[in-house]
Amino acid sequence: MKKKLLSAMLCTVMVAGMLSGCGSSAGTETAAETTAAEGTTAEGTTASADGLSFAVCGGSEDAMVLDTARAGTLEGLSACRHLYEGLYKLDQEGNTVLGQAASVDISEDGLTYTFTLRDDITWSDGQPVVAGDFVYGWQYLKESAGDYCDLLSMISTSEATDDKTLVVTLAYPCSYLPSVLAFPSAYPVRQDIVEANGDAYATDPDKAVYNGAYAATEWTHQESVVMTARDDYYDAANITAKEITWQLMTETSTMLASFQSGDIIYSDSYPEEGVLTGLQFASGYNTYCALFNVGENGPEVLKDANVRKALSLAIDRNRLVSIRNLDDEVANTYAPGGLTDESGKEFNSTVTPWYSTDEADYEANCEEAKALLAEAGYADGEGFPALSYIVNNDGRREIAEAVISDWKEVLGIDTVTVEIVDSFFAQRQEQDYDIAYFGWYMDYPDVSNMMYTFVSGASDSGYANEEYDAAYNAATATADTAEQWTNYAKCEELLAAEAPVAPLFHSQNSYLFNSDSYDGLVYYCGNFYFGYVTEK
Amino acid sequence: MQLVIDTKGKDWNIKMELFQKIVKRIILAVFSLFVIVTITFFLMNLIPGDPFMSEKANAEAQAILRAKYGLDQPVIVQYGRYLSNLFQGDMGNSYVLQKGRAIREIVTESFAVSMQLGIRALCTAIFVGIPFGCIAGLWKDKKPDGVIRVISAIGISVPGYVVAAILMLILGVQLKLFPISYNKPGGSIMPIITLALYPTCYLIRLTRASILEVLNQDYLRTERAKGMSEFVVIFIHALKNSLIPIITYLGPLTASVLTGGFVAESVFNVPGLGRYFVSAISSRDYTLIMGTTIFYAALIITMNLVCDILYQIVDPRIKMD
Repeated sequence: MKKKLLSAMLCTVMVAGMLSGCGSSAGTETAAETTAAEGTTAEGTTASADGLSFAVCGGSEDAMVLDTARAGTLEGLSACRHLYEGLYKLDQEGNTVLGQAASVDISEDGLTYTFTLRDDITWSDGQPVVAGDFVYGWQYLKESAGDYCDLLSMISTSEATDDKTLVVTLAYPCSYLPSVLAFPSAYPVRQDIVEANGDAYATDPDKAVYNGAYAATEWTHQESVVMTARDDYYDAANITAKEITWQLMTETSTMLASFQSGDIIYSDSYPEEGVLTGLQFASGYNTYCALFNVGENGPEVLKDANVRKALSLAIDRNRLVSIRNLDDEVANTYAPGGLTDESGKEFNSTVTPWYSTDEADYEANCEEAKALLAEAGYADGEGFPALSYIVNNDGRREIAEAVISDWKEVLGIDTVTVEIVDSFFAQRQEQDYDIAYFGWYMDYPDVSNMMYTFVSGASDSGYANEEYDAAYNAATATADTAEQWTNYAKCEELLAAEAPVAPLFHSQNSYLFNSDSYDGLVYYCGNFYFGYVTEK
Repeated sequence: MQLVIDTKGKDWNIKMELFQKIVKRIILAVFSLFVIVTITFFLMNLIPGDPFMSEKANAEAQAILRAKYGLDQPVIVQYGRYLSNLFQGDMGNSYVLQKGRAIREIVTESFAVSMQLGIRALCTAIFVGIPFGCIAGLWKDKKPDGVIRVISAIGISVPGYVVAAILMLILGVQLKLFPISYNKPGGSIMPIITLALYPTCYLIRLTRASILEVLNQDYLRTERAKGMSEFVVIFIHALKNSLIPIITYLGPLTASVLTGGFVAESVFNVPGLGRYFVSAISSRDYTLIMGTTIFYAALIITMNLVCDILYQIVDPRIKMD
């Protein structure tokens, strides 16, 4: 009896398993075949009568935050640039031009901006975009407490005098305001949609409305987001990519394999090894540093500026760059290159370099470092206390280890250890570390975005200097670029003298793009826009 | 009167006894679940950091967010509130990985995907593993046994991420046989192989060992001596008795395969539950850590219970307690 019962049960279980297994598999495959039938080419794109469509890597699901106020990653911000649009936007060349605004009137003192909105702008549910959506959006940005919640700190008031007129007053003349207003965090937001959805706002395509060139039409969580070009977008005629599928991926090896197999035409990340075909470089606007904890919780030894300068000088930056082999530029200032004024002059040309990065001068730097360390009482590294150097991934550990090997060889310090920590950002922010990786990727190419990071209270190094704050405030208070730069140069000088940070190099932004078959990618400060992509 | 009850049959009594045992086990299971929830909650809060840390966030904004979600309260207060919400069936919203979405929605959605994949991997493991294990056992030390043993030894010792990487590189990039992403046609084949390889090989070895042990038992010798056909001896008696250790393994295996594999899912972009076990912890997505833990624990406990009940049927001598 029991034997029969058992065999019957086992059979049922197995058959049920098989059926459900096969059933679901059949379902998936049929759905997939339908898509394939629409004509997939070898490049993984579908060229239908409706226009160009392709897939790109959109990073991981947690990066894909489609709420402009909460988006913080490059993938999320870039995706938002497709779905929404601000008063300004990026054009085909990556320049900042008027977007939702038809015109702007700037007062003589540079403190009042009066925007007139276009007449032909609508949300994806058909409602017109009104000036009040911007006012609400900026208030919502502050309340949401996202990574960029204080992006609009220069704006003191914003008022919608009527549906099409927005008057913005600034606390200080801010010549880079257009770049800021073209940033996703400054986009308009529809109050009724936010209030109807609460925490779930913009977590599914039907829980948001869009005023950009695209509308999100499908979102299979953890798998893909599909964006479809809107016919009622005012500039629809110039949008060449009609459908973009953002494949969500977490593993860099998967991104590379998908790129190489032609499944995707763009990826922001890839495994950092070897030279890859399809790899493109763009000006990075960033600085990769070693940060010293000079705050209250920091180690005594690092409170001595001579020690910090000695540590900084002893680093062979050219060797670091050759280890990475990614076309980085050695850093001898905190601000990266490429920050220019109207005439094309570089900010860095007005700054005295902190030290020479010429390979021939490295010996001399080392001698100076040894002298400084001896002065601080640690000649030949004698008696130097144990410190830990924290990083958050393998690539950064490799660089940190190269740095401490310089300290060991040049200064005789063998008490610094490198550690990958899980709660890296929390530890750094709570100043619970000795030395840490620090990298700043600028959000818009204005020197203020760089110098802000060492204003008292803003830096994880615990650096606080009234003179620095005064110089920074003087720079932001003026509309005159030359005067701003004089003050920012003063900031650089103070950082060089006190070395709360050791700039190592400025990395290039790099990404994979199938430039053999495609053209028209807009790449700006790590953000990417596919609307103008065309097939070659 | 007592006689009357007895006439209702011993079978009824045994069933009642089994039923009582099951009820007892269920009560015990709920208690275990409570203990797991408690331990996880406090351990999770011991890890430094919180869901709102990031490269560019400022301290003030983080304080606002902590206050909004009550993370600024003492852990014991948070725990009390979590439990009371849990009893009302509310597992909260994700803080990080799917910002703002309900945990229940995330877990059910992604479990459905993992389960689809898992059932297919499980079937592969059972239908390949057990027969090949039998073959190896019945032909012990002969050629098929040797080949199967070598292959299964390799399958067991190669870690999942290596299997996934090799499959992706050879079948996906070089030969372009299968797409890398799960949402493309044929995209489920490589993740199934990755998921099924280890359990298949393990089942082969387990079945082989178990069969060998049973084949040496006296009762089989007796059956043979009595002239029973070899077919009946092996397929009816030997196989049935060698099933016990396999069932023991199948319970937890089912639970772990159904909830998906971290490696297979993250490498092949499967939108399943498996990748959350690791990523929820590293991103301190507290509500998701709790959600996945509770779900997985409940599943494991249920599968073990099912196994215990199956034992009773296969071999009533095994005590359920």
